[in-house]
Amino acid sequence: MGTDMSGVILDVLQGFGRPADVEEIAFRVRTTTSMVEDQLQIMVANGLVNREGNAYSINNKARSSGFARAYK
Amino acid sequence: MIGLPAFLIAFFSSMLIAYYRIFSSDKFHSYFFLICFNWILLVYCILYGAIAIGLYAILPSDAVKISGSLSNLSPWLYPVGIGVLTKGVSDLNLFNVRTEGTSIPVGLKTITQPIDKFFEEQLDAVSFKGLKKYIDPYYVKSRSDLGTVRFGNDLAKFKNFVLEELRKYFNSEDRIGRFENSDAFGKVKTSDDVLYLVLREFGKTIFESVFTK
Repeated sequence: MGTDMSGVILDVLQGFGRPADVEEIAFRVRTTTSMVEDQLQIMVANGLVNREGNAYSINNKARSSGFARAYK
Repeated sequence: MIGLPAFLIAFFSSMLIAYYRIFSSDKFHSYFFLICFNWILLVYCILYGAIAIGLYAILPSDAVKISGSLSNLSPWLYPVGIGVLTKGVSDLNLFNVRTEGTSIPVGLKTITQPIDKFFEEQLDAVSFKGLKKYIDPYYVKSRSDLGTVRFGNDLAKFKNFVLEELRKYFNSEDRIGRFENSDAFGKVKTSDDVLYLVLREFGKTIFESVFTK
């Protein structure tokens, strides 16, 4: 689930094209804010996502890696 | 059947189908009350109505077969059939091309996929903003209830209360069981998360039966 959610979150962030609030990310990923927050912390630590205050954006490394995939 | 009435019938049939497809989709069904009269949804339906008019104009007159017992009505049913088929035809996909982890369809879907994606993202944004406004009073009330003597800030008690209320208003034990055992419900950390999951899973009517504001 962790890997799947990372891919889904990255694709959602890619679609935003801007730093996005965690609530809206959770809404589009179709899960709870707390689950997405936990996953985002891991992704920030792994350098896939940048944190800017309460908003998150995709890191260029993740953007070009092809890691993101389509989500439903 | 030719002329303006036929085109209009195809147009409105396709619009209704596009509207219904959004209503019945997993993504928007629970939040449809937030977007049902939104102009973005209307533009989306009008676009598919326009595609139906185009298909009606270019397809041969026997593209849709009407069965024998309805043949007296077939001049009227034919444009209805074209309108109904429009969304399905627009999803035609001959094959996919994979590149850098993404998959690009080749077919009519090459054109309709980015259109669908654009409108889904816009409707997602509308749903999200509408949801915040709708659900905030319920969040405030539930946070306050959680702090009372009844629940004593115990989220597990609150979750059990919610499941009992669901069993009162919703008669599918299987679905409540799946909800109770779902990963997302098991990992909730706040009463807000519980409310959000109930609305997403069961819809507005059940949600308003379980929670007050």
